[in-house]
Amino acid sequence: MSVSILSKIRESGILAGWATRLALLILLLIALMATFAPWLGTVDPTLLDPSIRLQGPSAEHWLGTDALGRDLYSRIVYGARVSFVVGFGVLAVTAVFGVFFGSVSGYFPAADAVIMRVMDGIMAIPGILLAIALVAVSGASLMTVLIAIAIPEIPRMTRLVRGVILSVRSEPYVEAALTLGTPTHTILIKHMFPNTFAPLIVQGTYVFASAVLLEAILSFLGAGIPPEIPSWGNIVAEGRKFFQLVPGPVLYPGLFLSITILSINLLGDALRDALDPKLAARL
Amino acid sequence: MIGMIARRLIATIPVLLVVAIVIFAVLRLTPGDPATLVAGDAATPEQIEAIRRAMGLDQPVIVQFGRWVGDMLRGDFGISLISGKPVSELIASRMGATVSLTIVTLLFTLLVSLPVGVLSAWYQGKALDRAVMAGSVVGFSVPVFIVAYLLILVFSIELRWLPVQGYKPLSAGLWEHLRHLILPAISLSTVYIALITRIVRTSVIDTLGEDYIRTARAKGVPEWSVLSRHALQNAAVPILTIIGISITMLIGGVVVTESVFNIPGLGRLVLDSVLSRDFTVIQTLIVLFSLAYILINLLIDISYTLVDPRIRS
Repeated sequence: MSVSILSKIRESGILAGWATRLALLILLLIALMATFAPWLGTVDPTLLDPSIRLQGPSAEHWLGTDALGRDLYSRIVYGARVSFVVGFGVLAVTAVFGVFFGSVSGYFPAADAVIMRVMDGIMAIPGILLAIALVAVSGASLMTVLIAIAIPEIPRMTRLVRGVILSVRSEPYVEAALTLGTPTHTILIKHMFPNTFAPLIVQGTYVFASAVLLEAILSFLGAGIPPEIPSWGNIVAEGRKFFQLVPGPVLYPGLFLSITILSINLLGDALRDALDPKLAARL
Repeated sequence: MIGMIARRLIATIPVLLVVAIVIFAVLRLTPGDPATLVAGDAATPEQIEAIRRAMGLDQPVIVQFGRWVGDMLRGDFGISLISGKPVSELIASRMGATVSLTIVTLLFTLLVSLPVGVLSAWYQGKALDRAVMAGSVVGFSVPVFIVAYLLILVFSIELRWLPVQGYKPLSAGLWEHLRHLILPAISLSTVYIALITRIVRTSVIDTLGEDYIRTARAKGVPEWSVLSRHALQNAAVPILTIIGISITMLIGGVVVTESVFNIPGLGRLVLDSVLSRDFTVIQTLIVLFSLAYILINLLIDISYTLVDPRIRS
């Protein structure tokens, strides 16, 4: 199945578009930056030096320093780590729960009504509010932020998987498998899940983008990653007090954040066009 | 029609119940004792115990939940743990700023995205359309607080046209009021303009292929009239749907925007009460925002029948 997804992507020619290529290149560079942060000319991102507070860019501090005299470039490079960990973490949690609830809901009509009502309820709660409330009660940590961002995303993933399962349920090959007495888990895993891969990949890129964005928003609001860990949202949050004096600590991480999210969204649009022609036509 | 509304209203009850359960569970069952958090680090065990009793936390969970829901149904949202004022009073005092900000944002969003979306559909595949589509991806990707600080940098710090932050109520004069809302509303609307322009474009492109459009053109109806009256009107349902769905995003955006521009609205109240762990205020606000989302979407569902007579049957 993954082979056919790869070949679909290749056939569609989306990788030939310059925008998609640029987006992929940027994401690759930022991922490399996050991975090799200690070897990229950075210093300890938490190292304080009050004698060099709020300086502009210089040979020693490429992007200047923040209000506590920490090197802004190093903080931004290390901050990429948080974004990627949160992005992949939320994606994994959302996919696991979405596939589980979605397939139970789609396959067992008895459970469907209950699961979908619960999902409707969660969807009605504004995601950011639920997330900041969760972080506030459980204390700021990377894990809490990750779970707080994932919970509001689960209903959409569940609906997506449920929709796919429902639509293939009446396909002749599934009916045939049922008639042959194939066990339920075999039908689900062998005949149904492969159909969810393409829409999951498309939806997954959007979940990734929105997780990176939401982490930055939560950290910006002071209800996210604890301040001792540099994350792009934290850097902006600390920089905002002195924005009128020195805009760098707000604008530089903001630029990285925007370019990262833009690249993921461009990639998502390209994947959607390649893998999900029906959805692509509607948007 | 009335039967449909009644059915839809009844269908919101289980959703609201789930909302209440989720919020209650999040605030009560997560690790971290609200009473300890409220009491602070210096509190003695006796003080914590007293707070726990005052908050009703010594009762069984089911009793706590039932009491909370019952109080809310009677319109009693409790007392703020921090300021000691009734929650309903706090919310009423913050409502005005948020309502103003939301109205200005929605008006600005529609004012930009309807014409731009229609033009983009009309020039489908041409340079203008491609620029609009590219702009919409960018608008969708730049976080609202970054847009806000860029606007502040240009219009408040460099050009000095508009205030950096703050809020003036309507009683201070209409212009004073609006002047303080311009930058917040533009920041907040960026995402919606991106989203709604896209939907307007797609919906109009869809309807432009319909027979009645060809008939209208053949009759000699002027092109602007074909676009605005025939195409756009028939594209109303998907546009309304996306406005309804994006209300939750709008609420999240309000929290961020009010924080950046220091506007004393409900979004600020959410953040302040979360940071000070004022649980009675947080739970009420989340319930009210979810209720607003559900009711707005219900209204939109009902309005479908007004804009599109085909749905009425």
